Amino acid sequence: MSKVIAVEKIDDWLDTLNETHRIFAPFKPGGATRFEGYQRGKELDLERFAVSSPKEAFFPATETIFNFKLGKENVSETVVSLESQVKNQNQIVFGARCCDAKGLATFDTVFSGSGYQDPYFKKKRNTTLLITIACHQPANTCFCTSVGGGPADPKGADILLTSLDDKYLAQTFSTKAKTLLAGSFFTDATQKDLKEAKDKNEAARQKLKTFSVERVSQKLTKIFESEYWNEKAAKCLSCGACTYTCPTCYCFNLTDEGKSTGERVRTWDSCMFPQFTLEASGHNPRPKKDHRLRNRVNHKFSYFPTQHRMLSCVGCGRCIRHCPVSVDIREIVRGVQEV
Amino acid sequence: MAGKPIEMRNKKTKEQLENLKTQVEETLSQVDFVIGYAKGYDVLHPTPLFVRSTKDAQALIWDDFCINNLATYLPSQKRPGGLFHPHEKIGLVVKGCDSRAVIQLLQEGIIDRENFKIIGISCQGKVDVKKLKNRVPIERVENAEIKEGSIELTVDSRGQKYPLEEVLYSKCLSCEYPTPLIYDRLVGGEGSLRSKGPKEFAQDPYHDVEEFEKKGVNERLDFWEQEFSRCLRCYACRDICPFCYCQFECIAQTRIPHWLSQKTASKENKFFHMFRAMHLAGRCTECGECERACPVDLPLLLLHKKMNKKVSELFGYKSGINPKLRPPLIIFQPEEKNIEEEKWE
Amino acid sequence: MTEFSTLMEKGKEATNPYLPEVAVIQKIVDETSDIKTFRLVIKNREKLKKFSFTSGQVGQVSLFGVGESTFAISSSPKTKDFLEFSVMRAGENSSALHELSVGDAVGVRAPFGNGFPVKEMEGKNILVIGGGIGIAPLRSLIFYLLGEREKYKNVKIIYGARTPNDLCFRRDLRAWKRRDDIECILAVDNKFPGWEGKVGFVPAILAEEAPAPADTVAVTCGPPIMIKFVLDELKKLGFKKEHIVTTLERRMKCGVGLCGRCNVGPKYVCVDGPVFTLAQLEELPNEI
Repeated sequence: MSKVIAVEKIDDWLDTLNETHRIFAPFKPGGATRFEGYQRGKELDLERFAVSSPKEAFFPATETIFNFKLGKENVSETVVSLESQVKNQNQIVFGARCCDAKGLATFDTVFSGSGYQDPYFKKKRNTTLLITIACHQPANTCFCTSVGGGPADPKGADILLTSLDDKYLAQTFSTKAKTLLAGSFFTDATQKDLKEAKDKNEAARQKLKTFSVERVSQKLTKIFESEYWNEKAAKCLSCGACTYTCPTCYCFNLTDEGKSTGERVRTWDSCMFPQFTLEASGHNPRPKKDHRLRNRVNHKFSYFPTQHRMLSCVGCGRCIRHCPVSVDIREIVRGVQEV
Repeated sequence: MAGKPIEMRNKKTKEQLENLKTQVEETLSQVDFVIGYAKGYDVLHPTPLFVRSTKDAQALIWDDFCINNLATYLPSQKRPGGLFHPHEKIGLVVKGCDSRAVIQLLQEGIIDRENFKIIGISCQGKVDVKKLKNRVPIERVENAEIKEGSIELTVDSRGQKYPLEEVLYSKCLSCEYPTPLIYDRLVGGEGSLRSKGPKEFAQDPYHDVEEFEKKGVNERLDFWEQEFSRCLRCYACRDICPFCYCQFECIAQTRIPHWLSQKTASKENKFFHMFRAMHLAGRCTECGECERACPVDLPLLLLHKKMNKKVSELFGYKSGINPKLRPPLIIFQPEEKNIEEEKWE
Repeated sequence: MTEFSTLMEKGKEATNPYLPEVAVIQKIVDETSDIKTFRLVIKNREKLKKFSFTSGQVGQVSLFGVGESTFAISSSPKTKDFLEFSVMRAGENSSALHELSVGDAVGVRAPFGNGFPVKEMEGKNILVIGGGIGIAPLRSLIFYLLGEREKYKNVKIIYGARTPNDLCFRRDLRAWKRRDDIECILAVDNKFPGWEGKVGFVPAILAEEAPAPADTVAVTCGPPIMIKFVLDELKKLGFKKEHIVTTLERRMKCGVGLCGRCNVGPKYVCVDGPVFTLAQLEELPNEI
């Protein structure tokens, strides 16, 4: 189904959607554009690339896994409960980019794929719709086309919006999204609209420099012990900025907070932190930052593809942009092929 | 006199670069590698460069965007799990503000003076990319040049121009140390805008703290609560700071002692930044890297400057100036000059 | 809560693999100065009776309010009345566990991982090589082998520790030594007053014993350095890589291959391991 909506009607449309859904959209409250809860009057920002991906809508930075209460007198009273029940609320993620939507495929594969199932993720995923916006102005850190994606790639989106100057073309890719386009804000799209969108999307694609990652996976295995990693990780600070802003990074920590009454919480964790793999004995399989950087790149371009036949990098470039020392994964991956 | 130093900027910067390359090449005979700046993924983002040979040195750059405080790599020398081998000698390119960090690390005994060589370079201020971000889509900047007191950007094939004073780092506008305070070699220059530029450039370094202090307590509390709700706890601020060398044992992430919950609500985030500010009080040399590194634009420098202002008032101490001094919160005096502990009447 | 099924109930089909079962400590045995065996009984006896696992599989024991850690299940898979975990005091969780008493409550999530390939091992000689706390999953294996004795040919155990006081499961060791259907060789690192058994590090004892590789599967578990030398020795003795089995240790959190932490290359120790053959290990990056 293809419809169009005037640009000035977007806020009204969101208001209507807000009555039945919790909306995550890119806002710019204090300088940094981030996905946050929708509120009329908050400065919606559909132009700038959000600092972090909307993975928080499915995979919050903090989540209670269960509550516990130790039985004081009678130990058989010790109770594990899910007081903070996995909430069932319809959600819409609005204004994500195609790379963000594609990043969800990694989460789907891990948390609701063929292995163990994560109910917390699944519940949110099943009740969330994704409305993405095609990019017409890729950033100089974007490389979606090099990793099998594109600025208007509809994969993972329920509705894809394409800007046509004073209006948006809205195309649905799932049956459940069709109802969202039923309102009076929308009129049918014409052939002209469709062509204009196609041309604009193609023009955006042409702006991107594409490089090949075909031989990367094999090469990574070959150069595992190489000094290459020492060189590339020299400037890395071992912080978590790259992983936390990444749309496909899903590593997490589980910690107990509270003493005799409390909760086990899941929080984001980063494979770049030195403590990530630190064992109680003091042994650490990845004690140095070159080991950790090597693991991160290998995971995205070798290990994950080996297990799941898809890359775990969508080319959004946030890791490059937010790295305080500008570690550039494109440079690393291209360099791997030349070692 | 006002316009002149800025007009000369570009030429001087190019001359400095040639001199810098020479100094770095000569230093290579005394150290295992030198850390400088190289071109990054775009003109606005230089990246640290590890120079091990004359060939590597050709990639060095020096321009109005070379902001990284390279002193942050110094504590790695002694740290396990750091990249450098303990016996390696390091060379470092430092600006005035960076040199304060080097001095502070010497005060704290974290680095040994004989293990590194400093190539100091005089600086006339750097452009704050975050200030540009508020004006243009920096992710599509094609070119950036300083010309006659302005920065000229090319974005989406269109030109944009801004006066330099609007886009330089605030710390540069009130810079007191344009020439490094410690060095083995110096790539000189005339110094900062502060002494020679227009009067309005010479702002009080704690000007922003004083403005903020004028707000009421509740307003300030609301501000910080709002700001910290964005914190991701990525620890980029901590990991780029030269003085957070306890990175691997930081109490933000330990369980023994378990001071901080891993939950990322504003309350917990605020606690993290509070205790980091306390740990840095009187030690932070106000390089502002924490604020630059933050992906969600938290105004961290304001917090750390406030603590430093307080330390300055109480102890008359300023960090990173004299290697022979010790930060007041690390040493103990039975009697403090400005703190009245006991009243005998 | 009841809408979710746990690992213990449904294994891979669990709808919420993060939820622990509440268990009570029924018995604590002081094995050595820093190792204790905890006998746990799941509060819900029905679940425990229906629960089954393979030797080599591990579980996570939760100290509510403290955290969760992974330990090998050291009891026999045939026992339906309790689960035993043998814990060396090392970090925050194990230390807190060591402070607990009989009657205290903990959480249990089990089983994780793949267990020893006991079916593939049938009809072969089995060589079990352990060091220190590494004997914990091997104890479970030995109980299993003894319970299915006719399915296996010769069974030989080589087990060493720093001193006689550091030997774990002494009651079981004595029982095994008394049997004539298994050979049990014990060793300590250095001479010790009163010790009549062998003296030397486990890899050296292995070299001395020089067991024939023909038709034999070697299973080893112990400190990383011991494993390294034992693997080298077994290769020297001519054991086939597919017939050398070991278990890996890693910091674990979720235990179900979701948190991304315990990988060695593309394999997760909690799901694809912790048991690996040497052939499998050699295909993985060198990141032990």
